[in-house]
Amino acid sequence: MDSKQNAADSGSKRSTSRRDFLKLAGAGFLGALATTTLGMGVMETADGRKVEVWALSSGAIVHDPNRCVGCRRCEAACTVRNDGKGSAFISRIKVSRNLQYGKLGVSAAYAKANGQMGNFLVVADTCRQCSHPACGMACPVGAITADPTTGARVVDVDRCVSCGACQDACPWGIATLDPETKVSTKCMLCDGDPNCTKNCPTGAIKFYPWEEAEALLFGTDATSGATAVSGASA
Amino acid sequence: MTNTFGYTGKILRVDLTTGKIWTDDTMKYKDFIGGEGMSMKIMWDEVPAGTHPFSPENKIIFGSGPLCGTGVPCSGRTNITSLLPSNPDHSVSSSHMGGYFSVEMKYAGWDLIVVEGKSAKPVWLRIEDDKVWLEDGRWVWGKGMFDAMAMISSQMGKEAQIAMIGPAGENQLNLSVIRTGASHSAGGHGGVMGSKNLKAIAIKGTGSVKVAARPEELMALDKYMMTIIGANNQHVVPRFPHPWAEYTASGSRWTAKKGLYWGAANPPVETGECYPEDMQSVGLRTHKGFQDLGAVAEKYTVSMGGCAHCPIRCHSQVRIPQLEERYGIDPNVSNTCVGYSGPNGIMFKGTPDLPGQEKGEQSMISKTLGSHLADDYGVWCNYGQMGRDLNWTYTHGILKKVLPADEYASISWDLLEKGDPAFLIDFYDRVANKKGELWHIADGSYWIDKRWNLGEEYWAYDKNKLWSKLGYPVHHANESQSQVGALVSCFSNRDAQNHSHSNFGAAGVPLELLKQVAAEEFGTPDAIDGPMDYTPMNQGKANFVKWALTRTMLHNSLTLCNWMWPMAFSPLKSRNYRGDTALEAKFYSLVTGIPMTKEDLDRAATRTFTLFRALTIRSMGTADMRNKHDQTTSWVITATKDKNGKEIPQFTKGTDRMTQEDMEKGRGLVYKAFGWDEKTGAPTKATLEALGMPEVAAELAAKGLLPA
Amino acid sequence: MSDQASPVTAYVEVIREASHATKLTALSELACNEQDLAGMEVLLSAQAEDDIKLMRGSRDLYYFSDKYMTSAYALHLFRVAEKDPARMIADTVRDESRIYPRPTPIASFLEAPFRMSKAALDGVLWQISQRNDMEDIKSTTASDGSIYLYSNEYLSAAHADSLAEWEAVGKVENP
Repeated sequence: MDSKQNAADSGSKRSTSRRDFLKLAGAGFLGALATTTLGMGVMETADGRKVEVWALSSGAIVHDPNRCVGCRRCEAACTVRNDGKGSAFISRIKVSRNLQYGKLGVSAAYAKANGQMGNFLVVADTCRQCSHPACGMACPVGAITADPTTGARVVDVDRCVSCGACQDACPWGIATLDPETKVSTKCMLCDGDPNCTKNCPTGAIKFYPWEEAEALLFGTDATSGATAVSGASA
Repeated sequence: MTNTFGYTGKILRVDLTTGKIWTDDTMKYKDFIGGEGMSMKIMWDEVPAGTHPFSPENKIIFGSGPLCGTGVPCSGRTNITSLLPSNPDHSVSSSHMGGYFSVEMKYAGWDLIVVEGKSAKPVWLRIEDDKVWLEDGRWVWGKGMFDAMAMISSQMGKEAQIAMIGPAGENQLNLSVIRTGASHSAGGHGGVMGSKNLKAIAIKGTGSVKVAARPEELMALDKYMMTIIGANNQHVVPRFPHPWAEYTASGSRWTAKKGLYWGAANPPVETGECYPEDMQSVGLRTHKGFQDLGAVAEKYTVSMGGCAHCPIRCHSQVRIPQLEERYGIDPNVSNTCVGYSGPNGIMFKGTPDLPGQEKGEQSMISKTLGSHLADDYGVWCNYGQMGRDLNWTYTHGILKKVLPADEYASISWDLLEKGDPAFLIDFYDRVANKKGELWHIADGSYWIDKRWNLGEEYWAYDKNKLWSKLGYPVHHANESQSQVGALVSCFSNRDAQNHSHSNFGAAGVPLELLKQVAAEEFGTPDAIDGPMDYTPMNQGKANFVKWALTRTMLHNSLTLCNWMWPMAFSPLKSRNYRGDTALEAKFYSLVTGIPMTKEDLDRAATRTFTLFRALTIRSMGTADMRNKHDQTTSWVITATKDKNGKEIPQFTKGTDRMTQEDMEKGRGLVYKAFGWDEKTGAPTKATLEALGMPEVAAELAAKGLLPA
Repeated sequence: MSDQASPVTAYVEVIREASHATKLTALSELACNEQDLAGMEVLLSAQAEDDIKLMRGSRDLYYFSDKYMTSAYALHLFRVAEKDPARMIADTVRDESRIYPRPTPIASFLEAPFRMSKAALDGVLWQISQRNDMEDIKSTTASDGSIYLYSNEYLSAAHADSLAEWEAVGKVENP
């Protein structure tokens, strides 16, 4: 698997990682955080720009395509716990849509591409709990904030105005408007005890503390779905 | 439509003749639970006796159940019910497939899909939530299923779930399948779709299945079930010794052990110890490549697959480069069990390894090549019977007689004789594409006999494994739990596909423990016999038969996988190896909010099974089920011989054969357990009415089909 | 370890750790003196540490913790440790003929925890056929060539023949 090349390819997506935030921080902060009660705030840089800063998440879910058997128990575990119903579309971990033909979808080479109709590699999309979350920054009403306990980027369903800005902004395709409730759904780490990981029958989904999760999700040797999109083929 | 939990509340109706698409209410059928049960009721109400399976008046019903889509373990199966072409009387029967199709049905908002009529030209049905329409199918008609699925997916989106037929179904072979995903086939009804010019049903669903209970309640029950679930076929004892295990069982599908890997994963994944309490290794317990394809397959195994929301993965997913190198076929193959061994049965002369091959390599190649071909063409093996039928007709010179000489001469029999799997390429092309006379091997045993006149010895030969002159083979019969398996196999219109009794008996615990649980469930330890050590029929066995028949009907209605359920045993010594046979009712109550006890659900399944019985009576035009339907072929009730040629009397150690007298006693006891007429085996007016089906009693009475 | 911890308490921990690593602990490995040994016996008889079990062999005494290992598995390890492979096979076969009941495929002795070589197994099978104390151990061959052993104290020849055929061939033909 040529993961290095893939990691480089996905560089644009990594713009929301901590590394890029530090680069930005290099411009020099002037002020202090305006507020941290919601795990986020606004800082001013030396050149006068205002920058949103977020408390880091305690960690993130990482999915291992090599162990994934495509059972989708994670998806049902997610939505039964958090929505009181079974659904694939609004699950905060996305397996179904990549199950048969991989993330890239059907190609003439489907028989050797990712997915169960191909080489059997099932690559899930998971929430990165980005250090600079596109979903939260796009939300026009501040309904997505860092949870004070877990640091997960969570949706305040009462404040959500169903605009879909988070869904459009998320580079990983995680934030999803529930077609039935019209409220945004995204991974909130189940209050620190993710139900998907507990229900994965092969240990393919694990919660990692942030430093490890970041390395697995964004590092040059990333093995997760983040960068292994087209890495493996028959 | 009322707000429903578990059920979506809606049935999709499609008339291909008129193009009309409409919605029906699920809940008016709720006494029949879902899936197979509701389908039986619709078939009773709407498809009259005498309808041909391939006529526009026949209906085909894709059924999910209330548990499907909620994440209940092993709830991903799809039930398909219609008239069965391979059955002599075209009686109603069901076929089943795993995969993800029924879950997508539910998420699109549909409990059942009922298709009738016949389209003027090939079409496929497109379902995107509540938007449903017919698409031109001419571009996918005639195509193999792998490519045709990719074509439809490229049009509809990668997340579409598709149920499809191949050329075999299009050509209306009796033995053809409906397939979904890479490897999930329902055998028997492919031709019905073909007759309707319906290539596929493709679904995308963005909705949900709502749960009545608080999430924590369902999550807790789910977790509880993880203390009961075993490996594939609910084998709760591992095959190899593990430090945590008290017992082992040589046939167990709990094949995991230290040093056994998914060898073609990158890096390889070790199956390992798989402690029963460890929920993160449940899916590693069953290494199906090792089980189905032999030890040689370990290094070719990429991973395991299976169905939606099932933690037990019973399909192996293997990469065999030899398929591409030798035959130009995609190296990635997935299947399970008879999906491999059925096609390999065509190679009945064996497939000896060639010089330089590893032990068992040629057999693995044959199984995977055959599986890929059968899955692409959509040919059904009739639970392995096609290979045995080919063997009999070839070996006894029948094919030489009935095939035109030039056709016979054009077949590469030398490849078959040598054990070269390339024979399969030629064979499946001829059969699926209806070439010459040979394709009639896919008519099914009853019709083959009628056409080629195979004679009594064909039915009487034990190794042909034909269970019934209705043309279906053994599928967990007398060899599985004595009279229990034997009698269970007498009530169906195709191979019995019943695992309630076979999984019970094969749990892997010692006989003494099996008998204890049998006593708790069926009233006496005598309900169960050890293998090859049978006792005469008794009441406990009749109770067991009724339980097996109704539980399987219940699973196909809920829909739960009967290849895993019921959960009669547990791998945990701390539970004294006891499972929980009230689990179905516990899940049903939590998911639907309709409180049901185990007894309530058993009664509902009894109602449904009795309706199935009435359907068979109506299609056969006789109430005399005992003599016209429930009989076995003669080898079943004939004593077998030991190694030295000495006869082994029935009900002594060393034989699993039955006697006619004992089987007749058994039939009577089972009829009685169902409240049916003991003489004929037909439901009585009183029983039909007590089960809430007076209209069924009235119609049978009007046709003279109620017992006196 | 605290000052109050006796050598016996330390041994118990050694035994548990070994069991956790799927090993028995032979008394000779513990190298304890007579006083310690008496202490161990007292401890076991009092069931103070009721997960610690003792098996008495002809070569040694063996301890294990049933927190980490079933008695059934420990018995396999015990028979391996006793270094009398003929006895190991005969006793295992007798157990299976009695408990399940079923004949035992000889191939199972090639697997963990027995891990015999094929050559060694062949030699031991010959020994079994010669030993007076193992006259009850009989063999039967299924039609696919697999060899099974059984004890005729618990299984008749006809029953064992048919069970072996069922295990080796019947189950495969009836998946």
